[in-house]
Amino acid sequence: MKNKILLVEDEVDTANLLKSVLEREGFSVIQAKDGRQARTLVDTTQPPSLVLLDLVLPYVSGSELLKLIRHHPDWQYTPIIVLSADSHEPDIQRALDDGATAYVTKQKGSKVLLQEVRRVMPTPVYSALAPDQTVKKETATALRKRRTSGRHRPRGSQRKKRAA
Amino acid sequence: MEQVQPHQAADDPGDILVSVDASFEPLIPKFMTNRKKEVVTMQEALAVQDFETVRTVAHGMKGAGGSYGFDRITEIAAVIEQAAKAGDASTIARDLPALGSYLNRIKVVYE
Repeated sequence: MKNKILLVEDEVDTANLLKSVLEREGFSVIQAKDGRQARTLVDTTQPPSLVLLDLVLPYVSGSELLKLIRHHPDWQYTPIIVLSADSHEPDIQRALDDGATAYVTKQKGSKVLLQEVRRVMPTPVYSALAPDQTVKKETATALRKRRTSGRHRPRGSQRKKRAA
Repeated sequence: MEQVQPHQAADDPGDILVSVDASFEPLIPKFMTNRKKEVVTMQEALAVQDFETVRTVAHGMKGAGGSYGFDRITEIAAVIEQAAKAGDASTIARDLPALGSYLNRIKVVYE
């Protein structure tokens, strides 16, 4: 079964390119063209294997969607890669603090994006069993183990230290 | 993707060759058409001091240019976006024609 990716991107040419690249790599892609469509999908469907999220979106921003997903009982452990045209460090840090699994700037190109997609994508066994709470905890642990460098969400202890 | 002449100024005459992954070829004509339309949209918005429209369109172009590997489009769009945030009409009026000229001179090479 193909891994499903929710692509939230309002710029049509960028969305077409990403869809083409991801489908060529064997992923199934669902698209939301603005924040409102994405919010509806979060509220009414089962989580995908991964969310690719633009930050600047009409109606509901990417930051709001990040928080919504991280507080949603079914979607909260879904990996989220924020894909943005902005490369300012404070923007990156805010997205990671809000719950992004990784942050990729659009200027990095599709090769870097695909590397991140493969890095954070949960293994099929976890995806299939996601409704079970115990397995969700294991999934979260597995995801944390994959967060190893620079532009990924920091571990819990680091977050606490920063907050202190 | 790599620009063959990445340091050529946007207001220089002549073609600018940009090499692009051959798998993107079906998407490029629409990409170029939409960018040219967006220059017109921003010119019209600037004429009525609608900086919010300029900012929004420039932001989208910044991301699209980066995604497809047209780094110069991203650079100029980023300057226009910042100028729109600051309400700096003269910078936008200077850079929009440069962006339009750059788009008209791009020759895409598929590899």
